[in-house]
Amino acid sequence: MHNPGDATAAVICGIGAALPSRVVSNAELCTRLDTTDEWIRSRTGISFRHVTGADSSTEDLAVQAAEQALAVAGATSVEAVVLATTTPDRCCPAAAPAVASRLGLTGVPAIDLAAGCTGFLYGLATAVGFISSRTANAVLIIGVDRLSTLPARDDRTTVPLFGDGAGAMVLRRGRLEDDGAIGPVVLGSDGTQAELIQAAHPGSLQMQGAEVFRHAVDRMTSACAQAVAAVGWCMNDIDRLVPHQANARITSFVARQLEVPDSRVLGNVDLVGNTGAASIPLLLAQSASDDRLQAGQRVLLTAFGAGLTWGAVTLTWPELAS
Amino acid sequence: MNGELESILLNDLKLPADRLAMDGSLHEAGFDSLAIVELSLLLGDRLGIDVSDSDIREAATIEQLDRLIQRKGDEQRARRS
Repeated sequence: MHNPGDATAAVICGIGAALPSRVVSNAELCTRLDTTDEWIRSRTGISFRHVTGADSSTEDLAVQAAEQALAVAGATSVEAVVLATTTPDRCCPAAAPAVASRLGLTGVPAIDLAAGCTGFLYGLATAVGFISSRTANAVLIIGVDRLSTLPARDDRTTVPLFGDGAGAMVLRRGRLEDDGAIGPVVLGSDGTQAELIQAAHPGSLQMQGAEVFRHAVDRMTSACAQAVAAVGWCMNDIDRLVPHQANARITSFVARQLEVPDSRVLGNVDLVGNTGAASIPLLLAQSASDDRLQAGQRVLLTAFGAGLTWGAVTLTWPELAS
Repeated sequence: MNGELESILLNDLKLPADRLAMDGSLHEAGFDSLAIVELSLLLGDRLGIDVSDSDIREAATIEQLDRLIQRKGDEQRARRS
């Protein structure tokens, strides 16, 4: 008989997502930027993005996604909150305690972490740590960003790339052999390349697209290979590759390098753009709800972002309440 | 054109075959800024030939691109042997 306290794996038991209601099409962007729908789609694969108005905040999106994830988990409470974002509503205090309190969780450990678009994977590793260190038996992780606030309003090369959104996941204490157990989390960073994606403040984003492309492909490809090897699988075992949604050209290049067929690659960048730390849980939530992602499938998550940061992790998708 | 280069341009970069003329520019063949990075990465991975983005960008035609890759490949093989 196993004592539940002996189980130190973190297992997915809930997932949720939130998008602002306002959708901005390429056609709308073309009315104020010197660009075309064809230019945006051919270089990025993006047609639409959701954007918050003045009436909605990063914390609002986080709460909405978290409520959905907690409902799926059938949980009224968790024992820790990890919130990954690069675009908090204010620089101090962190968003996580406020979000926790709005969810009725006042008192639990709650932290923000910033790791660019890799934030959710860093959040997963942090949540695994909370569980294995016995700080918590259940952890809520939220990836949330309003990346539409970062580019200069008239920057035709970066404005079309970004959207706003949130994704959330509940992890419980469990066993490594359980479906939904988080595998070894591979993470990395390279601060010598910080200038490739940087914003001193909202409205000032600067990005060196070609170099970002090169690093994104290299880093995600090698992180994926490490994560798959660490769990003892081979790339052919992967049923679903879930890459951070930054640009369809990057994800298809990574998939080709990994020799994962297109039919096994999940994506939503065409409809939501790059939603930063929200990207992976948002894609997981949408794919689980429309059956592109099913219980028992072997899944490989990978991300790359400002920092630079990158990461990858494997898991077997669990049966979740709908 | 080198068969491996042709395969990369058509099958990996998905450039339209009817726009691929030896005397045509990279832009006319359908290259954009990301395709130049993609080609550089693929040349390294598939053929083991290191050709920078800026070298590729300087090729005025597909024929010059083909020659550039041949030359870089020969130079790098000679250096290794």
